[in-house]
Amino acid sequence: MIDQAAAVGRGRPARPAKGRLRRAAQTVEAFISESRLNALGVAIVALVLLVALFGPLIAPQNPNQINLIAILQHPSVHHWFGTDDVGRDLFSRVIVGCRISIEAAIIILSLSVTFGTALGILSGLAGGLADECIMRVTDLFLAFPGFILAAAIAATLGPSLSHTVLALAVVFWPWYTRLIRGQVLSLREREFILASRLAGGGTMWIASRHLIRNVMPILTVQLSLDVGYAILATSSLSFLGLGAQPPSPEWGAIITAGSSYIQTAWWWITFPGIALAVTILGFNLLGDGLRDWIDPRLRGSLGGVPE
Amino acid sequence: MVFVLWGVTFVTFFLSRVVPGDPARLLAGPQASPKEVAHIGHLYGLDQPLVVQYGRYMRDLAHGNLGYSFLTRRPVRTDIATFLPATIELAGYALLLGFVLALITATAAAYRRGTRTDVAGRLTAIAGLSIPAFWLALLLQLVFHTQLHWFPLGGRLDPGATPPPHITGLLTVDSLLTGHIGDFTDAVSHLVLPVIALAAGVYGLMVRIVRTSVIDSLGEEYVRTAEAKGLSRWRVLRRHVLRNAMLPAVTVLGLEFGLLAAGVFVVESIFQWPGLGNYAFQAIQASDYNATLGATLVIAILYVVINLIVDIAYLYLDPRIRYA
Amino acid sequence: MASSDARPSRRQFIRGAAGVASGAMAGSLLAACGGSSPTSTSTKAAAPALNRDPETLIVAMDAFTPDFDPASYFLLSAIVPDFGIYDSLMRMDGSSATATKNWLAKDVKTNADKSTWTFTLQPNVKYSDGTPFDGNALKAAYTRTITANLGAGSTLSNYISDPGKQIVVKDPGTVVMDLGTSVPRFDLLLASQYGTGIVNPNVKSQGSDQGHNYLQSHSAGTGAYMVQSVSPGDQIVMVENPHYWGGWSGKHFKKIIIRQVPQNASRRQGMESGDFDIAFPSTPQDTQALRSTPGIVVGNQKVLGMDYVILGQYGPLANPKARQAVNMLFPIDQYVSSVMKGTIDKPRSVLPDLMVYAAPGTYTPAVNVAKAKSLLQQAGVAPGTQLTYEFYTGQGDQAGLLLQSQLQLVGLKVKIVEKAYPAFVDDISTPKPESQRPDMAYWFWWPEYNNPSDFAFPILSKDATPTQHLFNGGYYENTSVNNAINKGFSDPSNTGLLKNLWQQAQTVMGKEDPPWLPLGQIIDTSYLRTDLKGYVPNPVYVQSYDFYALSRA
Repeated sequence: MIDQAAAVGRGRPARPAKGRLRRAAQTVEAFISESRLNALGVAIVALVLLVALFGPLIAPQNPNQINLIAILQHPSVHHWFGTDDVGRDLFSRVIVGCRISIEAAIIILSLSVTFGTALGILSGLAGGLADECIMRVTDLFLAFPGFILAAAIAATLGPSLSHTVLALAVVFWPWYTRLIRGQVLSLREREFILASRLAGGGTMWIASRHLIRNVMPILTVQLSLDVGYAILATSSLSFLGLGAQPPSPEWGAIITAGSSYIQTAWWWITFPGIALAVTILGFNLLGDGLRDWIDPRLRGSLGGVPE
Repeated sequence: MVFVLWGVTFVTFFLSRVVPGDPARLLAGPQASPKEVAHIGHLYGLDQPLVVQYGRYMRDLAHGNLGYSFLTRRPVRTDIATFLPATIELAGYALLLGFVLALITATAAAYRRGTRTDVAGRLTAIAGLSIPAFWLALLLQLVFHTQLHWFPLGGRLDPGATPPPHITGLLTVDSLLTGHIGDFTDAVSHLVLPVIALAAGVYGLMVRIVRTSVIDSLGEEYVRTAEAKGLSRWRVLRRHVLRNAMLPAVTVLGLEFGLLAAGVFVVESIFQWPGLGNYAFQAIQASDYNATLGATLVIAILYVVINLIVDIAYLYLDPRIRYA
Repeated sequence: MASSDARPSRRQFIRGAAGVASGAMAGSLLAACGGSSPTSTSTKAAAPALNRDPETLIVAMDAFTPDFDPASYFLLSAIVPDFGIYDSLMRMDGSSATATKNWLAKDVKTNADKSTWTFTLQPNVKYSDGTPFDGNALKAAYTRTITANLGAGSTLSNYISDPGKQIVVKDPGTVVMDLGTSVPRFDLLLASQYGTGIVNPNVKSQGSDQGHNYLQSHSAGTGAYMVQSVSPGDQIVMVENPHYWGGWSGKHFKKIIIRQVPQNASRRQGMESGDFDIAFPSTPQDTQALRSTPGIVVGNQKVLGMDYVILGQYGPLANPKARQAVNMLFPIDQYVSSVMKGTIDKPRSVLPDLMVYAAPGTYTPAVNVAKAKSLLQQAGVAPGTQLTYEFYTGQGDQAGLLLQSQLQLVGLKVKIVEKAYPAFVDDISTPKPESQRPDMAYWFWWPEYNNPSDFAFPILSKDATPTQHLFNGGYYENTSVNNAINKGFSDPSNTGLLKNLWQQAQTVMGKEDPPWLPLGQIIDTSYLRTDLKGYVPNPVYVQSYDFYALSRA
């Protein structure tokens, strides 16, 4: 079968006897060499995380420094990405904005994963009416095109980055609930649960270990994809004016400010947009590659990509 | 289904009421005396307790009355009838374009599996999903309008142009049906950039799914048999492979809907497309309760309908049923 | 009287955009006292090619509001179309901020103390549906406006609280208004665009609420144009009123299309491509570019409006010295020339230059960081204090950023908060506890007519705070200011006294007890094609156009 032919080139590493770290390094290496796209994804994500971490240190100028003499300058040696309408250096703003996007994504996902997982476990274990109710509510949230729900929530609470983050957390959690619940349900059927029950062992402990082990791969894939989507959604909401507020150099906010000046200052929207697109691309490539890597059978069946 | 719809109205109703801002004051205006503001509030039933307002709203809803929009000063139902076709036209063409391009890319990638074509295809697909729709829209405007002057900046037709007689509300269709070729080309030229901006996401989502299903069906027994029998690749492709590719593409329609709904918001705003997305966003911003509720309700209904279509289509396209 | 759009998002209301080389003293270059913008005498090249009907005028606004009821409309977004649809008894004359001319009133007489006004109406005036206009119609229309409580009634109801008694129809061609008190410039009030439009009283039969609903998509006026169709969010199409009393001889536009074009860039594009005849201004940079674009002319009429930052008389800015300090930190010259590119005029008083009793020179800002520091110390505002600055989407972000960086020089932190327009209006016009009020807020205002009491009352009077749901968002309270305002209403004929009171009030507001940080005097920098003749902007009629007077060369 064609699948098998492809599987031959998999190159999964054998488990060496030496430490976990070495194993991990080899896994990463194999992953990177698996496909050029994987390598690209890892490279981009690494770069983005570095910039997010060290951003404020490496930015050449103060991102909020107003300079009325240098308004709307095109890219030059002094200002690699040009300046905006109050003379701020766009390169520095883009660099610092990277951290904002990553931080926002982390918070959104922490919140939604925690809440979603807790709910999913509850739903899967409880069963019956509770399960039914929780699933209905989950469906309700899924029925709502997430972006619009997030926009409505953000508009309600008032425009601010933290409200946007909260709104997006509300949008992202249903996927995780479904995911975890599915795993919990399938685990319930497994023999070892029955066996351990008979043996009187700690069901919860065994179950959670198995749960985690089974869920980890899918969760990792979903998470890395979701980082990309969280960044995309945050910047989209900031673009609409609901997210980060001035003078925050969040990428979406920079682009929206620059959209009025598209004819007189093309650089203003171009460079932050490239940074945004490349970052999201990196995380998507990573997630996509991980998906193929972890289980080729799951290709295409993982659907579930939130916007 | 019904629960979902009800839930949507419930959540949106109370959510929209919590948005800070007093529509009565906005309607009455800065110079209005408190007396006038109160009067306006009473006129629009805004001075009743929330529960009463909700009850009224649901009762009206049962009669198909979606209330009155503060922004446009006319019934929400009329607004939706006016703006929905514009969004359907835009989203419809985006879906079509995205799907067709995805089909081509995915099939090529599947047939040339593992080669550079495959990798390139995968990259473009992920790029399509990664590029923010709002940025792509701005970029398209910058390049194809500001620099090259190939396409207009926004709107559905040139300013001052009279639209063709209203039949479906889809300008491309209406203009063809009534023979207004000039209007047709005008409408098409205005559709190009926004459709591309929207289609990118659709394309990205579809490529992977179609590719997988093409690969799968290429390995199926009956396909190899057909090829062995000497049927040309093309016919095999058309007959069997593509049919099966349709199936997962259709099932993912629900996801497409979500993607399009999000994209429509920003793309309509940037291209000043007079559609539902633009309408809904302005309604949220202006505390126009009825318009917000009406728009989100319509979107939820569409979602439900699309899922129904998907379920029915699934029955039709499932190969197990066909080749049993 | 503020004209503000009910819909926010990336909107520019009347953001002027004019091109002046950065660094130049924009103020002196733009001191156009009532001057009209050059059209026919321009040395510019021909306008962009016109690939459409030359007898249609296309106006691009950022947003319009379909409200054709004179008893309720007052948003700029509604006034632009309505100015061509409804007439009043008087009209402002040419570009004068103080002279009026007879309009639907063919002749005006007053008694000695100007408390009784007698209007002889123009003969042969008809509404757009052919119904004749006469004294009875006038009384019915104004009674409706004053008693319907739809939002724009206060202009007239200030002096005519009982229209039944105070408006007397002597005969169909003569109407007497008994104001009960001396109002020497009642003509200025009648020339206002707010609440004075005369609607066809027949609309009352068009449904409940006296036809208000009907008038959201139909017009019923005596003006030159009437509404043919409305597509909300898209455009309004107006056509000639066949019964117009001014007649249709001479060159006039047959059709007026008002288009909604929210994007700045699109309005500029549309002017350059010839798609629009008139457009609301875009960004200062765009205006600068268009000033040197052949075929397009940019308006430079200074109007009776002010941009300013409200400084709250509570919290850290309660002490006048603190507010003086803020005024001493803002680089107004740089703001006007570099940021706004001369699309506003430098403020010379708290009141606009062209306003009656204005005293230019009472506000003379100069950046003095050391003095500001000491003032803040005296006011008891310690370094490290945080102030909030609020603005609504589309307006005021640059001023806020500038304030933020300048206040940093004296150790003050500014938190910039952007709000959606409805929420913003809530914040500055509804009662809130001190902790929830913004310390500074970007705002603008212009009057219904040229009268400083009318201008100042809703924004500076102690009886117009958010507690009264009006727009003195800073809770400003100053005796000499209140005196001037109240005297202006109660004793308007005492011009000598009023001049002194207002001089005093402006001096106080400019130096000792600032209610605001004045940012600039608003300039109407509409974009126009050079082939448009007859454009005569008026400082009172902010950003609205007399369509009937326009024609294409």
